[in-house]
Amino acid sequence: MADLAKSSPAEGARSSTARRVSPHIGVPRLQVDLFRIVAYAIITLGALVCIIPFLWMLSVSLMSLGETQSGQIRTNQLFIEVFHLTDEEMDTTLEEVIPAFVKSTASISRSELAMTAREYATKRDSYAIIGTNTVIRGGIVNYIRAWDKANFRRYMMNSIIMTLLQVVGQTLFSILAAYAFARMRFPGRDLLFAMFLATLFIPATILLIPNYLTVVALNNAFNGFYQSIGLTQIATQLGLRWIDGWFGLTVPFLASTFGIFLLRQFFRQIPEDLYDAARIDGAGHTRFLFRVVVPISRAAIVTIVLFTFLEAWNSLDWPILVTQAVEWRPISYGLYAFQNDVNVELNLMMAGAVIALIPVLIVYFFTQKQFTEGIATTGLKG
Amino acid sequence: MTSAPTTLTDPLELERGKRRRQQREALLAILFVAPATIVTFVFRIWPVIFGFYVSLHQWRANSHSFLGLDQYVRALGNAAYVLAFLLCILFFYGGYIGLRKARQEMAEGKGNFYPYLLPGLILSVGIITLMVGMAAQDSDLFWAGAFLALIGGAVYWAMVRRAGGLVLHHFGLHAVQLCSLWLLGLGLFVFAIVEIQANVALAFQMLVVLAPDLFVPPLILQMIMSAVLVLAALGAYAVSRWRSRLTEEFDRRRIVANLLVALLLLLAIGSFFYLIAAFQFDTEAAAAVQPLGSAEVGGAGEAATGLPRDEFRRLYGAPKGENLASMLMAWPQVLSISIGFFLMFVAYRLWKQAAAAERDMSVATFLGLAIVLAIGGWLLIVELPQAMASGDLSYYQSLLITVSYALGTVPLQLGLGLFLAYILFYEVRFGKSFYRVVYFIPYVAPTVVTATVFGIIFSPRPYSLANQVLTALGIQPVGWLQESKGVFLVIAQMLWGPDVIVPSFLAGPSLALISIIIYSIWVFAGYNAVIFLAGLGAIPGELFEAAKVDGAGRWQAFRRIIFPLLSPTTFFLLILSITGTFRAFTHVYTMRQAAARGSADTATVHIFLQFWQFNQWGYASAMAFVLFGIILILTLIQNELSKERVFYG
Repeated sequence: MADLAKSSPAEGARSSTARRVSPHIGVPRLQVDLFRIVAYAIITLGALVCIIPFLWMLSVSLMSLGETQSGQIRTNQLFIEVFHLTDEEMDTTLEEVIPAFVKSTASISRSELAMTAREYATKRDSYAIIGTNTVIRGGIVNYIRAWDKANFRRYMMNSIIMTLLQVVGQTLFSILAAYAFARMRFPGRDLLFAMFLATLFIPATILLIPNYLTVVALNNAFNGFYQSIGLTQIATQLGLRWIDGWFGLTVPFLASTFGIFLLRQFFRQIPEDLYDAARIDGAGHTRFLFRVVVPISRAAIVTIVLFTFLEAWNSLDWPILVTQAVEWRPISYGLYAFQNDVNVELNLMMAGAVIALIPVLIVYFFTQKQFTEGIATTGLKG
Repeated sequence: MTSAPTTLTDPLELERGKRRRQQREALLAILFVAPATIVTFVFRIWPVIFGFYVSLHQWRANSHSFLGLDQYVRALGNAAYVLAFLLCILFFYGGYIGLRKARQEMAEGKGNFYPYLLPGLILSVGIITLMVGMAAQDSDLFWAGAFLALIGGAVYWAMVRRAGGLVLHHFGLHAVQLCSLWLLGLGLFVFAIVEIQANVALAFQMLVVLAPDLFVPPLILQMIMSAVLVLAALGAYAVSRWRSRLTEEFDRRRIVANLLVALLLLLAIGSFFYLIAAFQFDTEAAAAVQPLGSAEVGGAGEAATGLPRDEFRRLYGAPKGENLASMLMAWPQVLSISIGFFLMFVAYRLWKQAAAAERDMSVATFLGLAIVLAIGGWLLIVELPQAMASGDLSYYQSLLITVSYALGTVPLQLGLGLFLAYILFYEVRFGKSFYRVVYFIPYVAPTVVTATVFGIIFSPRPYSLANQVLTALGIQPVGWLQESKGVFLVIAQMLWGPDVIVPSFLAGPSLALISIIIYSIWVFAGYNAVIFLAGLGAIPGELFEAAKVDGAGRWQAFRRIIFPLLSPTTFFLLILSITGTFRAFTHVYTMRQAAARGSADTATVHIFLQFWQFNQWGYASAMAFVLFGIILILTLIQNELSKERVFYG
């Protein structure tokens, strides 16, 4: 089976693409070309434009509140300053001993002087307490505050679970359906596939309202069912509900026409001989699919995983619709809520944005090779 | 499986085994597609039917009252009726395709199609009833539909058994396609006619009270004459087709046909002139009632309907003179816009014929005809904005904003993407994959994140990044995302002081929208570049090399070789970005600010707000369907155009 996998079309397509992409035939090698210098300048400028907003975001996220309002571009704050205090020091008031972490005594009001160091560090936005008696200061405090106070911990958890469920479910179902459409014979196959394709033209806007009504109806039905078997408590805790639960957040996205279409195109390129060989080896459709087809279609599958991931991580309108409690909302809502806050603290907001960005960047940098390959070898090239 | 394969050579046994294997494969395949199919059906296909049903109602949490097309008319004005008739044509055409395929297969000798129409009809009626019952949550209707569908299925099964064919016969599908689409088209047609009659007939009755000396032919007569016009024209076309198929030189039927064509044409021309005269009267009447206030119109309405004041108010609200005028113009607008579209279509066909014609004379004739027809059609379609203006102005505004958003982003992002991809592919040797990774980041980064960042960059504070750039260039800070003024107006005010007068149609899209456009270009130019790169990779290098050898410069090589060969990618991206701009939601919703007073709300955002903030579920559904119709028409037009322009190797 391993030998079979090696001679796969994906492999072939990859090497042939590589061959076509790399050489610059016909362009003289040692020629100082003004156009080329300009080209490098333009391409670098473009890359800078792509990156600068992110750098700016990072910079603002490390600023103090005062700095965000002054219009400066770089922060003067350190990233982190750590002060270890004894328990005793933490619980003395500022009147008696000014603790080491206080920057200047001029800004301390009289009411603050009566506080203990612990109270003071808790109250002031530029400090955070780690453990029992370590006070930190600097840019990182924004992240800690966004994580704890602006509820990003909860939003992040929701987003991760929701995205994971969607990615796993959608990829699995897409692989199964695409394989059936590409390789198996069953009555009504072409009609069903045409129906799937037709849904590509339906914009999400017209689906929003009826789907919401459907989900509300399903929620009522499920709640009634849970009540009749006396499991309401457990179901609510596990989130097995349609409103304020995982069902409503994920089930509508478990099928993706785009993914099925992409994978079907890919699966159809796999030569028939491969399947015949597998059958002689005694493998049925299921084993052939998971042992041969899936491994050699890795680039296409990664593409779909990344697209699904991005879509799930980005989604804003649907999660707002099907959740009433804020505890069920994803990270995109967390940022959106910041945006609509009148007294927005820009540094916290940007810290939240960085937090929301990090998982995406991690996934992107790990998959980008297969991903660009997937774009090149699947139907995406047009 | 358990029986030992002792009779492997027995053909009967072999056949049976093959069949069993096929059945098992089909069963497994159905298991494979089942999850995706169920989800797709419940959350992608069913909502289209259900959403349409919702859009016909005033939908509340517990009670729904039927409004018919009223909400479409509210959104689009009289253009809603045009849309209904266009959809009818689309349905009829879809059904006709089924018929054509079936007849093709009949010509190939695959049996007789026509008997299958009977089960097809029963099944279609059953399915439509079932769907309506489901949407209306009416269990009687649902079960009646299910029962009918079962009967249709049983009849079909019996027929297939008798013919000894496959269980899933193509004829069955074609019959269902034909019957259901034609039934839907017919239903929509009758529905639209009844709606117009119900909504507009009152205006004609009121006119008799308001201006008894004005003569206007009754609505029903205008409709009948329109039908006569269309049917006579179609009949003349059909008869002349039939005549051209008669082979004999001196056939008596030819004379009959000629007479018939002449008669029908005469009828068509007569009804056409009648309609022109009637529309003239309509227009005059509309102009006469336009300035009237709601008190006069209401009084006339009470007199015409014979209802007491409260009852009239409850049923019809307080119509003003302009409402009355738009109602009087409804039928003229419907007919003229429909004819306008038809003329455009004919002009397009003639244009293609001109391209195919060989003699100069016929090319000139076809071209001339096409141009004349296109101008005529355009003059008739120009009525469309007026028809729409009688609807919801804020919705109309949001559609215009969507269009300017699309015009602002698509050409720039595609052009930039192509430019960057070209440079990356042909000019850059070092760090190619690095640049590719970097250019894709804006697209990969979560929309809410980047939209939030740009929301801060383009915030109106004097120290926001965008305003700092302006200050560095010596320009006053501006309001960016909170600025509802048009961009050219803002520029003019900067140059010549705040008193400068710029006519509103020259003010341009609002500065808020421009900020969002800049954001979109930033996001999608890199994405397009990466897709273009993949497309460039598929172009054989030898072609480029050959061009270089022949002495082609960069521009020539690009224009003559790369660009044509890249056209499938370009077309794919074009469709993707145009429909994408019409669907854009998350970033617009994140970046919009109340202070911009809706000047950056695209149609999707407008619809979402109507739904979510104002709880206008039925109305929001209706607006969403109109948007869907627009996207569909755009896609169809692009598809048609691409057939000539796109080169698929």
